[in-house]
This record gives sequence, C-alpha cells and structure tokens, in this order.
Amino acid sequence: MKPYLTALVAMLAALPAAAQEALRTITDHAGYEVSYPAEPQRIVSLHDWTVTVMAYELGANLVGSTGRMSGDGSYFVRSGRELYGLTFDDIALASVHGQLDMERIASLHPDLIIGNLGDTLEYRDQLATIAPTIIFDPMNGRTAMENYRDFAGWVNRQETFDALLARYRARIDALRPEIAGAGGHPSYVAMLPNPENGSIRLFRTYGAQSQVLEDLGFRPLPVVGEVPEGRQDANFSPEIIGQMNADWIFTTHISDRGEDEAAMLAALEQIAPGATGFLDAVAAGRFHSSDRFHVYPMTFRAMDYFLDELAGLVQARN
Amino acid sequence: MTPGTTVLRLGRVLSLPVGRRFLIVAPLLLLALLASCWLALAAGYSGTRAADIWQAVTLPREAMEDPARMIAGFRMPRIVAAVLAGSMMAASGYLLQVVSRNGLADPGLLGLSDGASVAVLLGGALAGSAVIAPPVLAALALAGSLGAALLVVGLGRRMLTGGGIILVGLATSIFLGSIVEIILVTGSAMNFSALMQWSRGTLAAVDAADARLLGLWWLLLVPLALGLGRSMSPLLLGDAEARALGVPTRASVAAYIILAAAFAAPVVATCGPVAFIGLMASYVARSLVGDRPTEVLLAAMLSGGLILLWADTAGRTLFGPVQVSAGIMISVVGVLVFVLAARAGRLAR
Amino acid sequence: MTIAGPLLIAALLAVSVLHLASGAMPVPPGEVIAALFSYDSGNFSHVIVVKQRLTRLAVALYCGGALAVSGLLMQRVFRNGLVSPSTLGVNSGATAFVVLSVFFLGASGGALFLPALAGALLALALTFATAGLLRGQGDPRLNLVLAGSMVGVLFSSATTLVLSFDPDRFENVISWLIGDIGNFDYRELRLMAPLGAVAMAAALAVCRAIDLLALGDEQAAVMGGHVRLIAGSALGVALILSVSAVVVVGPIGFVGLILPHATRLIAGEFGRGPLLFCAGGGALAVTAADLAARTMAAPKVLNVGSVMGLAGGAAFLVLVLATARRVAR
Repeated sequence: MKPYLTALVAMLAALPAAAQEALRTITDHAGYEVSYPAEPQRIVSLHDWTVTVMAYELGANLVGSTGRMSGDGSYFVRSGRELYGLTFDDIALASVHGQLDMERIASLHPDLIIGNLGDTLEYRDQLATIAPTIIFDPMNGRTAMENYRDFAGWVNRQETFDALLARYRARIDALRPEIAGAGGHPSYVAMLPNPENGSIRLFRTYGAQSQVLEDLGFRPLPVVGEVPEGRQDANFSPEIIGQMNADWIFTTHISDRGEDEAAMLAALEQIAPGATGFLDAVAAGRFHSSDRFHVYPMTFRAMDYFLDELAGLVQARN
Repeated sequence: MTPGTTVLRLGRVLSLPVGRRFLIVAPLLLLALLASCWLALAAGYSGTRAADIWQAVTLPREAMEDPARMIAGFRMPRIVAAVLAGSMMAASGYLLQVVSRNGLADPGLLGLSDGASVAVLLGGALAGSAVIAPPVLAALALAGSLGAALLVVGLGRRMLTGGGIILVGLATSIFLGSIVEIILVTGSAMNFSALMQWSRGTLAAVDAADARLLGLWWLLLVPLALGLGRSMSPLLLGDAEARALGVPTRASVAAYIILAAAFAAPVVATCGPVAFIGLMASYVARSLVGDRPTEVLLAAMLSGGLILLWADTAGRTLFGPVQVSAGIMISVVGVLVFVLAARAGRLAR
Repeated sequence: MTIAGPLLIAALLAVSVLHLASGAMPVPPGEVIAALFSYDSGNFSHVIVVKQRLTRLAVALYCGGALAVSGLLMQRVFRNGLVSPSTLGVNSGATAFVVLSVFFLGASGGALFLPALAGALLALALTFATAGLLRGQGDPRLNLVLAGSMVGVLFSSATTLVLSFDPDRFENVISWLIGDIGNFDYRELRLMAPLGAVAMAAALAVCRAIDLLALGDEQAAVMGGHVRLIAGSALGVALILSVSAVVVVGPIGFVGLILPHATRLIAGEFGRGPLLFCAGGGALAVTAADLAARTMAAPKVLNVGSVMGLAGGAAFLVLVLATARRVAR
C-alpha cells in the first residue's frame, strides 16, 4: 500500500508544476504514451544514424548521442559526421552504440531521451526513470517520410520540417522529368553484393535512397516482393541475378574502407561472372553506387545528396 | 560423529551437524560478498562518496540527492540481480553435477537458452508487426526455457543418472539453436549479432522489476533445494548405493533436474544464459568445504553470487565507455583463469 | 562392404548431379550438360552451373570428406565415440583465431591457416586441461565432451566480443562464422586442397597402425606399435584436415561426429575401406546439406552450418538415445 500512497503524494505535488510548464503528450512507435516538456531543452539521442541526424537537421536541442568506435579507438556519429560534420566536440557521447551506460546518460541531465526500437526497447524502463523516453521505429512498415514527420512533431519542429519538405517536393517536381525520363516510371532494384560468400542482399526499403526513388516515380522489380513483409532486406542466391534486369540498379559502398562504385561493380562481377555483360543497367550507365553513410539516414540533407548524385548522372549522360 | 564436524544446537529441538571448514568458510564468503557489494556500489561512471552509498541504502527514494538516486536506481538493482542470478546459476549447476555425477555439468547444457530464443521468436512471429512488451517477452522466455528443460528430461528419461542426460541436452540445444539461426539468418544479419550478444548473457538491461522477479524465484526455490539436500548424499555414491539406502533415485533425480531448470530459467529470461557459473562455483565450493551436499550447495551459491557480481562490475566499469557483458567476462576471463588456476592447484598438490 | 562401396559412389554421383541441376534459377538438364562439356562464358546459365554450383560442389565434397575423416581419426585415437572436431572445441578455437587475426592483423585467404591451426591446438590443449580436472570422477569419455563444449563456448564468446567492437565491419563474414559454403570458397580451397590431399594420404598410411590402438595401449605395444607416436601423428593429421576445412567453410559441425558412427555400422571398423567410406559419406552429407540450403528457401539461401546443425543435432540425439537403449537392455 505504501508505494501507492507515496506515488499519489508525488503526483499531487507535481500537479502545480505541470500546470505551469507546457507539456506535450504523444504515443510513440512502441505504443507508449509519453508526456514531456513541449519544447525539450536537453535531448539525448540513443541512435546515431536515424535519431541523431534527424534531431540535428531540425535544429532540436540535442545535447548528446550514442557513437561508434573506430579502429583507432576514437568515437564518431555515424552519418552525422558524413552529412553535417557533427562530432563529439559539438555534442556529448551518451554511450557506445548498443552498450548503454545509464549513469553516463543520466549525467547529461536530459529532459527527453529518444531511442530506436531495435536497440533501446529493452532498456526503456530504466531510461524512463532518467527522463521521458520516446521509442522511434524506422522500420515499422510506414514510409520513411511519415516517420520523419512524426519525429518532427515530437521535438516541436513541425514548421521546420514542413519548410524543408516543401523545398524537397519542389526539387523532386523539377527533377522528375529529367531523371525518370519520358516513360515516367523506370524500374529499379536496390541491392548489396556480398563478395565474401557470394550472396546478394535485396532491399525493400533503404532509408533516404528508396524514399527519393519512390518520390521520383521509380518502381521496384517484382523480385523485391520476395523480401519478407515487414523486413527491410533479405539474402538471396546470386542465381536470381537473371531477375534483376531493372532499368536502374542501386547499391551502396563504404568510402572509409576505400570502396567505390568500381569496387562494387567488381564485386558483382565476381559473384556472378558475366553479369555486368548482360545487365542492361550496367551497359546504360545506370548502375550506381552511393556512399552508404550518406544515403541511408532519412534526412533531407541525405535525400538532397542522393538527388544531386542522380541529377549529376543524368546530366553527364546528356 | 565424523571428524571435522561440529553440532549446532538450537534449544533441544534442533541439532545440526556442520562441518568445521564450512563454519569458517561460509562467514568468510558472506563477508567477501558484502564487501564486494559495497565496492560495486561505489564503482561507476559518476564519482561516488561513501555518504552517497549510505544515503542510497538507507533513505527512501524521494529524500535522496542526485548521486544517491543514481546508485539506488541503476547500480543497486544490477548488484542485487547479479548476486541472486549468480547464486541461482550456481545452485542449478551444482544440482546437475550431483545428478550427473560430473563436475562439468552446467545449466547451459540443458538447452534452456535456445528454448527461450525459440519461444521469443515464435511469439514475435505470432504478434506480427505488433511490439511485444518486455514483461511479456520475459514470460515467453521463461516458458520457453522451462519447456526445453522438460523436453530434455522427457527425452533423456532413460539416462537420468550418470551423464547421458547432459548429452541429450547438448543435442537438443544444438537442434533448437539451428532453428533460431535459420530464422534469423534468412532475415537480417544484424539481428544475428544482436542475438549473439544476448546469447552470452548480460545484466545491462536489468531493472528493479527483474531483480524482484529473481528474488521471488530465489525465495521459492532455495528452501526446496535445501529441503531436498538430505537425499543428495546417497546420490553422490551412485545408483545402487542410493537405492540400498532407500532413496528412490529415478524420482528424486527427475525432481533435481526440474529444480535445476527452475533455478536457471528466470536467470535466462532476465539476463540471458550466463554460462559456467555453476561449474566454477561448485568447483570452488567443493575445494573449500568438502563433500557434504547442503554445505557445498550453500558455499557454491555464495561463490556464484561473488563471481557474477565481479564479472558484471568489471565489465561495466573497467573499459568505459565500452561495456563488456558479464557473460563474456565470465566465459573468456573467468574460465581461462579458472582452468589455469585449478590446473596449477592440482599440480601443486 | 562389398555392396556398400558402390552404393555410396552411386549416391554421391546422384547427389552431385542433383546439386548441379537445381537451384534458385531453373536450368534445363541439357543446358547443365552443355555447360560442363562446352562451356560458353557468354551464356548466363553456363556461368551459374560452372561458377556458382560446380565450385560449391567441389568445396562441399572436400570439406565433408576432410571433416569426416578428421572425426574418424579422433574417435579412433581417443577410443571415444563422442569426440569430433566440433565437440572437442577445435572448430570454435580455429574460428576465434581467424576472427582475431582478421580484426587485428588484417589477414585473409590462405594466410588464415596458421592462426586457425594455432587456435585449434590451443582449444584442444584447453579441452584436455579442463577434462584433466575431473580425472577420477565420472565417465572420462563424457568429461572430454563436456570440457570440449565448455572450451567451445569460451572461444565463441571471444568471437562475439571482437564482433561487438564493430558489427558493421563483420556483416559479410557472419555466415562464415555459422559455417557456410560461399561461392568463392573455391579460392581458399585451391590453397587448402594440396595440404588436405597430403594429410589424407598420411591418414591412409597410418590406418593400419591406428587399428592397433583399438587393442589398448599394452596390447598395441606388445604388437610392436609405438603407441604415442601413432596416436600423435594420427591426431596431427586429424587437426590439419579439420582446420583446412574450417578455413574454407567455417565451423560446420556434426559431420565429424556422426559419419564415423555410420561408417562403423555399414562398413566396419578396421582397414582402409572404412576410412575411404567415411570420407565419401562426409562428402555426401555436406553436399546434401548444401543442396538443401540452396533449395529449401530458394531464391533465398540458408547457411549450410545451420542445416547441418538441424540434421546433425537430430542425428546426435538419436545416437545418444539409441546408445542408452542398448545399455539399458
């Protein structure tokens, strides 16, 4: 009985304070109802290349983020570094990716914590004792743009989002005829060759990359339907390369490892010798590889980057 | 009276023969455990003064200052869970060792963790895109691990005594593990590395509710184990001898294995499978207090708590900001040190 | 034995043909034959049959044979039907050292053989050190297996730790860690096969001597065998065989455990016949598993290691239960 009484007392004591400070109440992607200050002042992000980059792009009050360890033992914000030059001089290191240290997070005194479903859900109860905690799920089956809009609302940056979206839409409309061509709806496949074991990964969605392609009117090949519902990707035998003859083939590489488009093409050729000969997209210069950490995160900067690449490709051909 | 024993008397009703070594060792272990708890309370990212710990232990949550609240909120549940989980895995391991008469038996070999994974994956498949709440997940894991243990006991009922049951467990766990691999690998590779992390055991996501769950099971099972302790000595002698002494071996052996599974299942559900504690703790306990089952059981539980507490505390504080899970600390550092030290001890003798 | 040998060869041929003829993309039988005998690099069907199926077939045949013979030698040397490269922790030791040397030294290809061998040796030593702790209690044959599984967990934990430093970096090798045949494994196979061939010849050469070990140490010595020398060299050959397979396909389990038992039942125990039978049987098992892995969920591919674990785990269970029943009678 006693805990309930103390909880009740605490609630009563909190009431006047809550009335003074404007609160926002939302339902997050894991179904939790969360109340927190309408304009959060100290946001801590627990996922770098989804949550952190979105919060940073929208100009939300971000104080810390998780980061990853590089080979030399230093830490970086994946995609934040590539797209915005964001480093841990600008914000604090809240934890190492996937290895949350509650004390380190609490010491940042956040008034809002945002994590992604896959890495954060099992820590949610603990995090909620530090500050209101929102779970974001980039792979919940809705489009990346809808999820980003949710997120903008959560951090009180709806207007910034709308302005960026209007600018992006205008750009898409201007570029669509040029990139998508006369037919209007070219087919595409987003894939990743694995030269270690010779399999091919096909993507149902791939962050900013697939969002831009969809907005431009590209349509995925039927074979992509083999990726299980609700999954982002699946591994396939290289024998399906015969069913991959799309107008465009997109893949990604990691520049840090010294990879580039030629390397990805070589990997594809290694997996399926002769494939580059009969895939029409390769001959037509429509095999394209982007830096993974630039085009996977779902932000307008990332979509702009990918649009720039596409426009450059089309112009170079004309 | 056997040499090396003392009889504890409580009034006229209760008299308990206790080994003298146990009378020395047990309080020492308890003392070491308490000291370790204090050290673990003091260790963490944010600096800690003795006064903060005192506050955290004695005051109600509302009256604490920030540092104390941090200790009470994050370090205390983890420490409590580590001690409870460690002692439960130790008890589980020791019971299995008695049953199989083999010093290397470990609850990890009963297929518990793979049963838990299969149950969680099945639950996920049934739930579709809906998110499963953590308490439901824990319940699924618990049911899955108990189910796997029952399956192993059922399949291996012909070879409950001796070590055969362990082989059945090994085979079952590999079979279930392959199913998990197939389901996960057809999906995303990243799921697989997350599963590998969990499958080594970690206390990072343990909170007060998990500690309470462990505490509840602990309170339920420990008296049972101590009660059964009487029939353990004959078992150690072997089937024929036990039967001659009037202990129905098959029934009691099955009871022990189920009890061992019940000890390990809540640990697997909250922290993942932490391997080798049962093995190390029982070995240490036997070399400290001798052979009397109830005494070894208690000493093993104390040692198990100590081992897991040290592994978890070292993993979360030594390499910051990198957090090494307790399971990995035990499997790599713990086992290497243990095997080498035990070998050295054997050679010295 | 008289009929078992030809039967095995027929089964091997049948599975090999099936392996070449089926997969994610249907290729008509005529095309398959054309691909083999008049290869046209411009024809994509031919590319699939030769570069994606034939290469995998070669890897499956080699690794199956090597692992099975390795297991047979180990079971003979230790006179223990429960040991094999996987149950002694040898496979996971080799795997862990490969991952460590990839991460810290940037090693690749055939250069991985030495670290893998070192890992295998260390794992074996640790397994025996651990089993030695239990000398005098329980069934020594069981102790060895328990110690092996313990050492296996130790090394795979080390692997997990290294993986967790940067999971993205190991994305491509995760299937190798479970044990899988990739389309490019033939490159490593080219480096490992000569070594394996020498080891296999050595195995055939010491075969008679190993038969002596079955008589027990004293008897064998009376018969003029140098027990330690025989056991040591047989064990060395077994290790080289299994490590050469692990470098190529990763830790595929159970071939080395189950096949020797099947061999004993079908082809007997002594002489060269059973050794060759065991090699053929291992090749058959892994090829069948690879066939299943490629076709069960086509066009998606499963890991051969998982398929083998599923089939082998079940077979192991049956083996254990059957042994228990025999003992109970």
